[in-house]
Amino acid sequence: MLKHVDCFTVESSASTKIASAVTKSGVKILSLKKEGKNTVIHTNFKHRPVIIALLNQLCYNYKLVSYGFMKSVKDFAARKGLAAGLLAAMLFFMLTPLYTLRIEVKGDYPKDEVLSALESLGISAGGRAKVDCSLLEESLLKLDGVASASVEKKGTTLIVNILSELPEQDVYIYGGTGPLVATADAVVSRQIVYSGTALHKKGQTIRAGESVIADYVLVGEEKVPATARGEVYGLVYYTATAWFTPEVIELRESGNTFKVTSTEFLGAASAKKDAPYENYYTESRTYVTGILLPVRVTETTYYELVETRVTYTFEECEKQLKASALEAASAKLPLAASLKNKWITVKPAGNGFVVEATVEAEIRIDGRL
Amino acid sequence: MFTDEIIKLTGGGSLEFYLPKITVLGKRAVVIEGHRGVVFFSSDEAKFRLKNCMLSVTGEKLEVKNLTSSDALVSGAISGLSYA
Repeated sequence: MLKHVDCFTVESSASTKIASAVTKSGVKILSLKKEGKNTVIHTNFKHRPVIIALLNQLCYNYKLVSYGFMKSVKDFAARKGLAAGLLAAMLFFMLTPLYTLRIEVKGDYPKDEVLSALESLGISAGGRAKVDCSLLEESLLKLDGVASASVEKKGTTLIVNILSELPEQDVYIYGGTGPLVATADAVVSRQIVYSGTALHKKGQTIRAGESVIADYVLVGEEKVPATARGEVYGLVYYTATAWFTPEVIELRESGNTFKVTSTEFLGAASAKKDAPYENYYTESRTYVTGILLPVRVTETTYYELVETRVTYTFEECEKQLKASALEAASAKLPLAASLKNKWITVKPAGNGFVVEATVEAEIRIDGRL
Repeated sequence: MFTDEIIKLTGGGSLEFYLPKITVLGKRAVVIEGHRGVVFFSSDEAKFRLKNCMLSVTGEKLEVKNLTSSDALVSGAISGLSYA
């Protein structure tokens, strides 16, 4: 469309001669027409020297008019529909930002109240008004129960984000209940603070009774009172020990037995005899004889036990010792504890060994004094 | 098929090489390919030399566009074509 064209108006009616000469020189004639006694030819401006030389050679008088950008503009303007469309589009894009065709209200604040507030400020859907977003925000924040408001204009859409204040009962008022303290010695593993300030970091060891969540929050340097609320979890350790000695004294049966029989008749019992051995265990059997006059007979057998020195190796007892130590350590865990880890160490002690089982568990350790 | 027969009739080879091609676009324009020069031109008539004859395009407000040594486009209100 924006081509640079030369227009030669040649004072001659011999258009054929001119056209032939021009085309023979390899120049394309964009347009050839006769205007009265003149011949008008349009060519690309880059062929100007050739055309001028040719016309001079042929001794024609001519007038050269060069069309550049303005010619293109005029050509474009001549296409009335296209020009009108372009103009309309330009006007549309220039004017539409001034209009507010749609108002989008986001948030939990009543939409009707927002729209009526905007209307009182001269903003309505379909209306034309200059929108000052910061001014609108200020006005919306003045509405009852508005916690936050933001206004943004995107094209012809006005987007309002507005949130209501929380209901009164959801606001926790400081009750001055003091800090939360640790209920056990532990290593802090994780903590959730709802309000207040955590006083320890993960991995720090704390003693029972130490404060874990303080009843204030820091605003800059200032401590603002707040109810200490949260959950603090810590790792606790429980140990149990079992000892192994190679020689133990056990009571074992010697093989000697002694049987004693006693009777009981109508509430009267025969005299009891003492046990014949220092260490023993007994087995008793009771039965009744007689049909008319029942006699209760009790037979007691004493088995003698003697102290015997027994020798074990550690390998024989290792499994049982470890199991019993671990069981004893696990038994100390509180019900709500979450078992994290466990391990067993064996250390020599004297002529035996000490088996120590440790269990690591996570428990909630926050509490109030 | 039709073109093949013409090629046979004309002794083979390329049709475009031997014969000019005249395309009439309604009453608005005539495209002439393969002419051998403009013989006469006015706002009522344009005459072109072809290989063995002359082509006359008549009409009103005629204008020749895109004229080269072999091709031309005659626009305007075309009323007739004739060969002589």
